[in-house]
Amino acid sequence: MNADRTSGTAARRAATLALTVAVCAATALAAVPSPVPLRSLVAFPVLVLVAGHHGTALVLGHRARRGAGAEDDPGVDGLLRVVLPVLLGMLSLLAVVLLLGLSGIPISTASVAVGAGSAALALLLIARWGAALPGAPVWASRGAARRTAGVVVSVLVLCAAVAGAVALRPTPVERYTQLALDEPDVVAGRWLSAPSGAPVTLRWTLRGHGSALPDAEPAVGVTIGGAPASGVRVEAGRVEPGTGPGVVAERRGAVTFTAPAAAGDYRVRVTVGPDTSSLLVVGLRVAP
Amino acid sequence: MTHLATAPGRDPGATADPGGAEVDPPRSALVARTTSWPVVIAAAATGTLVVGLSYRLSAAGDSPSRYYATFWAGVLLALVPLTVRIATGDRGRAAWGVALLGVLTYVPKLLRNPAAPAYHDEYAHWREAVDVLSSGSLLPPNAVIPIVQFYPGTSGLTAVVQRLTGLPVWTSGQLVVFTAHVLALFAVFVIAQVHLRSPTAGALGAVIYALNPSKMYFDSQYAYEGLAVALFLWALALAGLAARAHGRPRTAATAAAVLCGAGCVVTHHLSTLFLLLLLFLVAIATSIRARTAGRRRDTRPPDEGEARTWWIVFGSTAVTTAAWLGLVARPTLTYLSPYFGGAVGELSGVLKRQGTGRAVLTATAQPLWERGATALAPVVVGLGCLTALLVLRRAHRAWRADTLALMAFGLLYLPSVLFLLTPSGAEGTRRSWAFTYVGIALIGAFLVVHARGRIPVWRSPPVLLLLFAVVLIGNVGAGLNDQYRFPKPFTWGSDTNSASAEARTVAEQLAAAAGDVRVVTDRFTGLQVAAYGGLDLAAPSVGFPAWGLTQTPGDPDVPLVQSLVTSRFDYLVVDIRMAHEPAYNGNNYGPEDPLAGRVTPIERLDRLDRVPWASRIITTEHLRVYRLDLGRLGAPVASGP
Repeated sequence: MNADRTSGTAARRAATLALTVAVCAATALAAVPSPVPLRSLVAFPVLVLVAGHHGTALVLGHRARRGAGAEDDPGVDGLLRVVLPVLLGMLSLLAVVLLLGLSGIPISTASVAVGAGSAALALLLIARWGAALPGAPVWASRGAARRTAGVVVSVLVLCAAVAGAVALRPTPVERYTQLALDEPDVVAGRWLSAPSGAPVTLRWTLRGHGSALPDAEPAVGVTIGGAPASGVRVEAGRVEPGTGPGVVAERRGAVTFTAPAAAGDYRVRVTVGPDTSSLLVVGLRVAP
Repeated sequence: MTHLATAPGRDPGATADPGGAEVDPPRSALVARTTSWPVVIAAAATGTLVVGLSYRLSAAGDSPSRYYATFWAGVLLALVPLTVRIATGDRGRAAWGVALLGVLTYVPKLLRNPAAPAYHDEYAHWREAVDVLSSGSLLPPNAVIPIVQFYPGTSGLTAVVQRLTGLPVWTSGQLVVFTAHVLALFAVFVIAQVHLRSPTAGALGAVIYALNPSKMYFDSQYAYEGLAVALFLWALALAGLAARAHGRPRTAATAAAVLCGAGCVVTHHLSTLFLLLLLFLVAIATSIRARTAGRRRDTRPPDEGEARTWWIVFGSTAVTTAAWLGLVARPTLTYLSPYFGGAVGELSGVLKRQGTGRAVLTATAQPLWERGATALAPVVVGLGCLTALLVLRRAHRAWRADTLALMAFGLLYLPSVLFLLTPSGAEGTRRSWAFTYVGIALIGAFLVVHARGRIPVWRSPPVLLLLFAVVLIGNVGAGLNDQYRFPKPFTWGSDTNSASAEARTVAEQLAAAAGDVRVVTDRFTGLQVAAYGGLDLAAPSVGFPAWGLTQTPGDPDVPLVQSLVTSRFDYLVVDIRMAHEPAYNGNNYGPEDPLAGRVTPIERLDRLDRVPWASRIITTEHLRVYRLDLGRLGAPVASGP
């Protein structure tokens, strides 16, 4: 009797130690951060399921302690032992983020990993030392392994079907050009200003989305107050590979023109390329 | 230690099963062959592909009759063998069936927009999660749906999953919502099994709940409802378990129910209100039963702890709600009150024929047969409820008060359908079905399991299958409209099909060039600007008619200019497609838009290139971004160099 009790205690300690090490390792993997597959398929499930499994043990007690006739009990106990770990694991993560957020701790990879690891460890220790889980984990039987294999195959078949269904839909590619002014002061709300007759330069970027830009330099037109500008000089730049998401190619250029002789506020219209929609309009204040 | 298992006939204090012994129909060889697991999985996979095909057809602009028929062929192919398997009493693996049901009812929404947000609320929640991650703060402001800021359950959980896994934000959110979606069905499984004392009833309850109009699309979108509904249902499931347990298990289950209730409180306002309402009703019912029990011979003996359990869960949820509303989510009442008051007033107007209603089942892309099923579904449900009432009339005292209270709550579904006729109530009505349908699921499972032996119609598998198909098709049709359910070619003025890469990149470029600025734009471009640019949006209204920049022929008036300047709305984004066709949803700037139902004349957009108070700083084929300088309104502009 005493020997049984001693071996049971040893098994419990060994299981607790193994799970503690697993949680600490998962916390470290999540905090580092390690590669996404490792975090998604190892660290995350360990943190969620250790917390959820031990939370479930606290709610339901241990299966081994069920009374007589429990084996053929068609109640919800078995179902709850499968589903509650997911629910309680999710709730533990929700509690972690709420505690972090409401206590003013920034929600970062490190704080979340440490928080989730701490929650899992706390539930593990409370459940195991509170004797809700008296022994080592019970490993799956051969029948359970066969069922698991069936589930894995089913999941793979369904994932393939979902991937196939997604692939059935053609992904539309939008092709358009975006012309943007590269003058931070104007974007921030200030007008261009120049003395009368002085050169004025406006920088711009033309980006091709979904298709490349033509190699030929685009025609650039400038009007000031509705009339063509004088002294127009264009530096169209070269077509470069795109740097932003979805940008196939981009061309950075500038146009220089002469400010009007008469002082006043003018509207300057700059068109880049043959498409009339590629238009920028800015204000120019000419000082005497 | 007493455990939380509740088996037929072992329910503490329960009398003999009033409906007679649970009747499981014999599984014929044909049924067994056609519903074996390999067949069920193969049908599910094939059905999924057919649903994908229907989306291909709709995205290519095919005729609605074809893509609707293809869609339903796929869904029925996937669901019918599984449902037959569950309904014919596969007790041992019913849980696997329910898990697969969860997957299959999630697939249509997943395929609808697998890679990025498309629904209005999805933009809000996705952006909230992005901002939680980028700012490290739990409650960043939200430009699309401001109240989302105060309910961080979904965005916070998404942020945690993203931080732990390293997956993209959208994928992390999908993982959260999918898990909640499946958990919700298991909660109903537990509720029905515990209350109706039958594993078959549990599985059937889950199937019936999966038919609710919101399940397949609305509650599967990436938004707070998806998570909150699961927590709502688990609070009920665990409270029901606790009410039937004793000693430490009762305490533990009650604590778990309280935790779920608290999770619901921090996740979604409306789910919390429904949870409080339902818990209160059940607590009252169990208290009344506890007082009157034992006076009649056919009544169960009283269980004082049952009512106490429900009161504890209700009280804890109420206190958490009060604390959350008082300390964090103060604007909630202001946000919700117009919907309730407005809907009741409008329904009163509809009943008095004062013309304040909205037309339902009128000209839409939905084929006639789906609209017919939509009209029939509440009738079928109503007849089922009526039958259940007739059966329960003679035996209700033998059932626990909480079971009857949940069923009674489900009856609210029937009058709620009336609120579809009101503009303000329609939104709330759709949201209520996720909650009231838990009662409908109980009633339906009760009918099939406990009344099947008495009423011939419930014995006929073809009739049951037909009713299943009618309610499934009808309810999904009642849930969301064609534009939400199906991917389409670009449609100006639709929440879901107006999104374009063009608007997205313009939003990102504006944010990169100008920083964290405030923007005036139409409601459709606004979704992209707020979600992808993270920019703050003007919310046009009668008091702040920001539409005056594009929807009127002249310059904005002085009060609007003052509002725009003092509120630092310095940028205007215009999509000229509003000049090509009227908005599908009827307006570009909300219900008060002076050009509602009409296109915006292109001259009103082109004049922005001539006024002294706007500079066009970004441009594409369809979008124009202006830097506003309204201080120059009316200033003279020189002509010619």
